[in-house]
This record gives sequence, structure tokens and C-alpha cells, in this order.
Amino acid sequence: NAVTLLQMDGILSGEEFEQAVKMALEGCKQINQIQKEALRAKYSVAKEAETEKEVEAGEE
Amino acid sequence: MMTSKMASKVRQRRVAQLISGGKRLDGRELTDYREVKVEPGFIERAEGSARVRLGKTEVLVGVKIETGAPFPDTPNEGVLTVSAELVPLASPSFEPGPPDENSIELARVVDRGIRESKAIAVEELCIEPGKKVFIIFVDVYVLNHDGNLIDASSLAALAALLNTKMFNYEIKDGEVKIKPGYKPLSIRNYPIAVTVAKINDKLVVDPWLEEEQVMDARLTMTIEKDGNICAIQKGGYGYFTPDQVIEVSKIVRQKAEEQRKLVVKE
Repeated sequence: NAVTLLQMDGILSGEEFEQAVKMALEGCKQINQIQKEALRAKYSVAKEAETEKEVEAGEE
Repeated sequence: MMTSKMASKVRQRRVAQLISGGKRLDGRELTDYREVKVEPGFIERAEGSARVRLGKTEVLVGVKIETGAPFPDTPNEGVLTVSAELVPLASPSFEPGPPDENSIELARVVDRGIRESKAIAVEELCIEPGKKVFIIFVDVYVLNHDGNLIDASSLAALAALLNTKMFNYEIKDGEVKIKPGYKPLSIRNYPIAVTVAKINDKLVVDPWLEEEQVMDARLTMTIEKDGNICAIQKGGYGYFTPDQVIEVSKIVRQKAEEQRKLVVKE
């Protein structure tokens, strides 16, 4: 939970800012989940394609 | 060369160690600013100017007013442009040449504070809508770097703007003719930037040069006159935890009020 980049333009009150930080944190976690799932999906499809190719090559 | 590098490593460790114990090398509390001296009107030939000394850090800001074309998306508004120069005499680490990323960052943070807080009444700077407006040049010159250039520059820029005089003018044959007399530039907000450094998990306000060399990261927040945050900039390679970010916002909002009194007289 390390904040490595933070920039802001506009006007936010102290309370709005605290809310924004909490929401952003939640958003980052959700994006992180989506990223992990996307990676898993990509590699599980590739793995299946690989296995099929090996089987074909083996049959030849 | 080797000896001075070793000595400075020892000193850096000392600075960081003291801070872990809640103390600073110059005896300040973790949330104290250094002594500030503000001198408005330092340069008589400029429309506005101010010199600020924050400890040994020294910044000079000049404000010049020119005329020019407005931006197409804001045809009735004057233009603000902030530039910063890290003058080589200010520090052994400043080289002559075009602005580097540090001077660009400095200019942008100072600019953001003034722009987002709408400190300058830009609608009053229109001469001929879509064709001619006043352009406010805010030029920041860092004359000595002893840490925390952002806060010093932002304070100096505000002091310079409060000191800026607009010449009276009239439009004759499409040309701007200057008439005698001045009026002060209309300033409606007073943004104050406060920078907090993170050193060994302690939050330290107004880091000086040696503290900047050991800090993990820094967070600058600019506060406008009603206590709202109008700009945030995080710098450095390290990180803040979300709780520290919120704690910084509380510290900053309090310090900004104190700092503002140095420049804005009631």
C-alpha cells in the first residue's frame, strides 16, 4: 500500500481529499485484480495452444 | 574527494538518526519552518518583485506584464506564465543551460498553486476579446539552494504578485497606450505551498539541503485561503503510506495558515 505517485490539480477540501485517497486506494486494488486476471487469462489460453501444438507434433 | 564523500555519508546517517529520535540538526521541531524573511519590491524596474529567504535558501521572483494574444480556448482571459531558473551560483549541482526537469517541476508547482486557486483575476486582464490580453510573466530565480526551493519560490511568487502594479492604459487605434498612474494587480487568493519530507518514517516540514539528501520522498501541498487543497506534488523515489498522505494534508493545512501571515497583512 505504498503511494509512489501523487499529483493534483483543482480544489479539494480536506475531507474531500481524504475521501479521494480512500477511493483511489480501492480503485488501485480493483485494477490490480483485473491486471492479474488478464495475465492469467492470457497465459492459460497460450498454454492450451502450446499443448495442442505439442500433441500434433508428437502425432506426426 | 573520497574523504568529503565519506564525511558526508557519516553526516547523512547522523541527520537521519536524529530525525528518528524526533530531533533535527538545527534544533527545529519536526514541524517547524526555518526563519523566513520576505522583502517585497526588491527590484524596482519590474512591475512586481520579492525576495524570500527561507533559512539560507534564497529566491528572487520578478513579475513583468506584457500584452499578447490570448489562448484560443480562453479568449477573454489574461495569461499566466511561470518560469524558474536554477541559477548555477545557487548550488554546485546546478549547471547552466536550458531548464532541466527540476526547474520545470519547480515552475509547474508554483504555477499550479496560483492558477488553480484563481489568485489572479484573469478576466480583468482582457484588452480586446480574442485579440489582446495582458500576459503576466512570473520569473523565479533561485539564488541559493539550501533546501525546499518549492516553498520559498511559491512564497516569493505570492509576495511578488501582491506587490505588482498594473499601469493604467487606454486603447487608441487598436494600440495599448500607457497612461500615468498605477493600480495594484487584482489578487483574490493567497496560495501557500508546504513541503513535507519523509525520513525514516518521520514526517518533516521544510526540509533543508542535508535533510533532502536523506529523505525517501517529499510531498508538497498548496493550500488556498479557505483551507482547501489546490495542488499536490509528490517527488522522490520513495513512497508514503495512505495514512501518511492524509496526515501530511492535516499538517500542511495548519502550517499554510501560519506561513500565509508572513506575506498577507490583514
